[in-house]
Amino acid sequence: MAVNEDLLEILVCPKCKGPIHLTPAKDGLTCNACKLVFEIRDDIPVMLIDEAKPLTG
Amino acid sequence: MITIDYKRLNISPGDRILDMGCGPGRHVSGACADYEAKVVGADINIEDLLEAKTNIFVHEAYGGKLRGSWGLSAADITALPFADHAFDHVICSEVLEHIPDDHSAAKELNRVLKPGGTLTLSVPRFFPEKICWTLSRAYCNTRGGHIRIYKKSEIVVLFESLGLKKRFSHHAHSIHTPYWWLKCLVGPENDAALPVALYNRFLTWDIMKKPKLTRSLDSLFNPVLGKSIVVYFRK
Repeated sequence: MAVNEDLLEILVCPKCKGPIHLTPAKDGLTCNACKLVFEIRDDIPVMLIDEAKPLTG
Repeated sequence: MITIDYKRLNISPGDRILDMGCGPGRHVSGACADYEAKVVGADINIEDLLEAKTNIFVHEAYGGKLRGSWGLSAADITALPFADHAFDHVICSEVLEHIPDDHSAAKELNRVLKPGGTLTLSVPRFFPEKICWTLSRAYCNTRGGHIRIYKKSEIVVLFESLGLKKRFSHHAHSIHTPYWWLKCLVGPENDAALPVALYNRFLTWDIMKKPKLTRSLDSLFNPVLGKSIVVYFRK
């Protein structure tokens, strides 16, 4: 089971409210504007600014 | 234990519903069981979300097929990760009393709600909550616990100041009120105290079996003893 498709349609970055994108490994959601990656844990996106990791590379 | 009366929301097939502060998922599975809706459960606590996921799977396995679809997301109510106007219905049950910046929370709930959509709030009712705070200092000093007691008028002003219109309100869970008073009397952590343990068994039985007698008593006493106030708004 992956992240619910209907949920993915409406998810945005909690910080800038801009678009987010699935990482190639589908284990996170990236906000390019804020340069943050939100982890997906057990198919649940962790959309918390404090828990996001900086986007590298 | 369902606090929000979904029948009052006029949910149509395909509607999106947000349950902000879903905890272990009681309102998420409740909505999915009865409506062909797209339901999102969100909570700041990832452990609660994992429990919600398990509970919904159990509901699907033993409680019959769900009519709606569901997804879960960790989210902070003051910085929601959802697009503007994403939801037809937003519910938020027993959450705002925990949130220091309730104005930001209210703005975010309003932002993600479609114009014409419904927003439904429940918080502990003023007088039963005041008695809990009077009986037990620990009850209101617990980390992450309740930080304020709302009057109904304060909830209405908070959301009407954002342009929402109150439709109606009711009280809920009257038979739970004596339980919380008992808990506060013996200490909120003292679940082993006999009166608390017995009342807990009674409430669990009531939630599982939904007998007509206790459901009727709950409804009968809600206007005077209801533990929660539930307020329905439209945007």
